[in-house]
Amino acid sequence: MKKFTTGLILILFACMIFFPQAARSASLNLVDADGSLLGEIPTLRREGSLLLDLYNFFRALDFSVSWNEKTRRLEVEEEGTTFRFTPRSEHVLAGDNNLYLTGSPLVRSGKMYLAASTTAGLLNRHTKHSVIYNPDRQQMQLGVPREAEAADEDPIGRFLEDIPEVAGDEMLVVIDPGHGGRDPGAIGPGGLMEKEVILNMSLRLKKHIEDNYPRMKVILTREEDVFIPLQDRTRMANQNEADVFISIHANSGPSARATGFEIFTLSAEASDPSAQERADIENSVLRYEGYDSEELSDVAWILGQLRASVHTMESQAFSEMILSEMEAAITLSNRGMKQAPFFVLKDAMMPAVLFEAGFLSNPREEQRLQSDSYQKTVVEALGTALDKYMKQRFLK
Amino acid sequence: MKSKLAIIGIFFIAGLLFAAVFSYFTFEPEEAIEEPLAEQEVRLYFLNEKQYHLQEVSRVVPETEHLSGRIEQIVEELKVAPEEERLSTLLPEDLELRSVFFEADVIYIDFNEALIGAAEGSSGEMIFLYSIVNSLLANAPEDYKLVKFLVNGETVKTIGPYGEESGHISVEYPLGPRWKLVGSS
Repeated sequence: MKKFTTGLILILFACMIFFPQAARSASLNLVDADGSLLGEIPTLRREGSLLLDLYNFFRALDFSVSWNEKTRRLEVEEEGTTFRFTPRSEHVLAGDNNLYLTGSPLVRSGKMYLAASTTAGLLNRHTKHSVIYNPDRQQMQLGVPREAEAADEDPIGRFLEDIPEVAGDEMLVVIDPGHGGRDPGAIGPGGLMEKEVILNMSLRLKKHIEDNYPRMKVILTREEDVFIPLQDRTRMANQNEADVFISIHANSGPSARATGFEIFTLSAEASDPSAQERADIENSVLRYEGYDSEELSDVAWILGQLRASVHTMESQAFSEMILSEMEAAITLSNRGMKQAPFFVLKDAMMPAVLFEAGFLSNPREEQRLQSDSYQKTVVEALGTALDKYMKQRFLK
Repeated sequence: MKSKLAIIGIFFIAGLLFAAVFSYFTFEPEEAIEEPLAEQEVRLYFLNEKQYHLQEVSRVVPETEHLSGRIEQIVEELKVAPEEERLSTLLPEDLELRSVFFEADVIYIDFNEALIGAAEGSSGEMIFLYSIVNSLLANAPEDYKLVKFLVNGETVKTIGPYGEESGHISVEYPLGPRWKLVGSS
């Protein structure tokens, strides 16, 4: 009897200790700036991440939330902007824009869940709300000024830690189909739109890589006809620590005679007329990453400069590989590599190129660009160039 | 004798009339016979449609007192296509230069909204923007190294027609010249 009593006491004691932990794993506390509870959000745990119930989370924040049965999307609206979440898709439509999440929503028992850290990032970057997610306390706190979050941390230390390691046996490629949505890009004399032909080519390239190069992972900046601001395209690549960024376009010029494929890299000289301007560009990248320019010391600035110059050289080497593969594969003239301050490349924190697959303004090339055989040849040549680049850079 | 005098008188009057009519038709205002304005040669960069690069064209224009006047003149000259058949202008007719100003080594050129959508495609924008940048810097004192585009007094990200981020080349910052885009023929 005595043993039974002792055992019972131990069990009760254990319950007292572990019950709060058990309760915490079942919900996330959403609190306001002064710590008062706004709601307990149901959660799930998957592979070490805490996922939260999006419907209840956004309701607790006073967003308007509804499930659109027709489009199979969860629609969350605040002050005129509607965010549309799709099950198992990293893309979130926000009005006209396509945002890219670092994880995709999961549906369980009729509820849509998303990682708490991803949700916090989405709120901080794309809404007026600022939140801090504390995974240890399983708490999301609202309304705390963003400066306070990082006040005590060492900015240079964070900067150094954030430099992606150039190692491993996999390469992450971000493919950016140019234009989209309200921006059709160039339109050929026959009516072919750049945004359509390039999306098609990019989707084929993704599939070609996935089928043939298992060591490469691919992210597309858009998989449908949506407008994405140029800076968000490189932001996706930066957030995912991509190894290489390739923006695919169809060219246009004032003369219908213009012909050929061409590749562009960011020019240090043109976009860098003065040291101050370079500093502005580098700092704008770092500001996006959560660093204030005031926090940056000369050391961090120099590191940024070095990294940019290494990326410039790598971009040129990659460009040469693409031109060489294209020249071997197709009869179109090789217009070579040029440098200019391309907007879509300027914030990339990795080797980045803009490839022009031919001139839509040239009637003959417009026909070529939409032909299945031409697209197949271009896609295969790009795949081979990416494979060579990966082997040279990562698998020595 | 009288008849002789009458004939001489008639010839005299006729001569006077002829001189009056001649001088009426041949009279030139004083200003026009003053010294002609000094001229200068400017180097302009137009599209070579065949080779698809920029080609230099020299043109003699009246000399201007100030650099801003020369820049306005160059923009207007760039709208006039050269006689050579394969060379063409890249500037739309409705593109107007609203103002020009200078700061440090940068020439600021403020255009009307016709700059937006004036060119498309990576190559199209590149050749359009650098035809202007190269032409201005080739004729400005060496102290000026860069050209900054403005639209109605504002900075724009690109000149894309479907919103600021629908173009290719960033015009947020001043651009330096691109002599590599220039071919010989």
